[in-house]
Amino acid sequence: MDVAVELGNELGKPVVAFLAPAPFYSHANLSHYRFLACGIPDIEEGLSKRNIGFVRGRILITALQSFVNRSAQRS
Amino acid sequence: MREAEHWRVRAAKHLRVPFWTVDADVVVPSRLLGKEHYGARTELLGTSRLSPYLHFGHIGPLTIAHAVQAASAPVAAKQAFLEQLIVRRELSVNFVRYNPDYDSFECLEPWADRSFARHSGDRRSIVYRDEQLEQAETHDPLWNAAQKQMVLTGWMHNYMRMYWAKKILEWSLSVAESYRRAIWLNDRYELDGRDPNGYAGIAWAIVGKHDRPWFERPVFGQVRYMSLASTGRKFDSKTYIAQIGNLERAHV
Repeated sequence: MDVAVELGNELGKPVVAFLAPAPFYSHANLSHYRFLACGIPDIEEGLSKRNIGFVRGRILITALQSFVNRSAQRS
Repeated sequence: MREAEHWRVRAAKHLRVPFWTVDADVVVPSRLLGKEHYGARTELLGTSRLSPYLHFGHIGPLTIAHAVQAASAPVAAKQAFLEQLIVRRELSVNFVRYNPDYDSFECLEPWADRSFARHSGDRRSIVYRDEQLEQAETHDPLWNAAQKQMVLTGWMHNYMRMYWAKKILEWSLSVAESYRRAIWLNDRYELDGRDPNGYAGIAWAIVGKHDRPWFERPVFGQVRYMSLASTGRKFDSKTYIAQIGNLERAHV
């Protein structure tokens, strides 16, 4: 994250963190996902303190692709 | 109340010791226990219980280490805590990183391999099916209590994890079978399942990884044995079983 911030500052671009759970992760069940999810607001809060954007997607690969596509269209 | 606040409070409750927050983000026990109490503490809540938070990256080891160093606790207690957090944890990560057989009995050392070969035909006096283990339906009240604690809360007392895995070896038809079942139950029910520490712990208990050969005995060969009686001397099994009984009634 520190490297990303340094790069962002150098290039004059915003830094955005992207998080999406991997569904059907080997041996993971609902209680694991629930525990993981309980920590997400902390990530969001920590990032916002550093002026870093935070985007949450539903499924890793497809959500990341559509997020990148949308961002590319906008810029 | 925000969910994040909620889990912080929950974590604090789990610790059941006075705690403070660091950068308003982190829960750390402020009163670390001495070595003699720390690892083999009998009570349900005798250890830090930070492993699930470490596993999911909710807290980093460096943050905990700094907090421990700044804590007003006996030097020996701090050292014991840091030894587990740094030395043991790094050893586990190293094991999983460099041993492709980390989740199989084949990660074993040559001495354990030779020893098991001599005992593969040993008669097992008790063998349980997968469901009997999962449902905590063995003859051993201490083992059942540990299994129930894991299923009901997603966490098992660290001292019991050793005993739990060794008994699965005792009650399975082969080493390979016991290994598969221990990994399956651990990964499924522990909140810190699928973690290097779990794999290294099971490797230690079942095939003697990071341990040394002990005395030859049936089924176990030279792998260190833990009996119900000896565990009861180091660990207040009676209190533990009673506590899990209360926990179980609260869940019904």
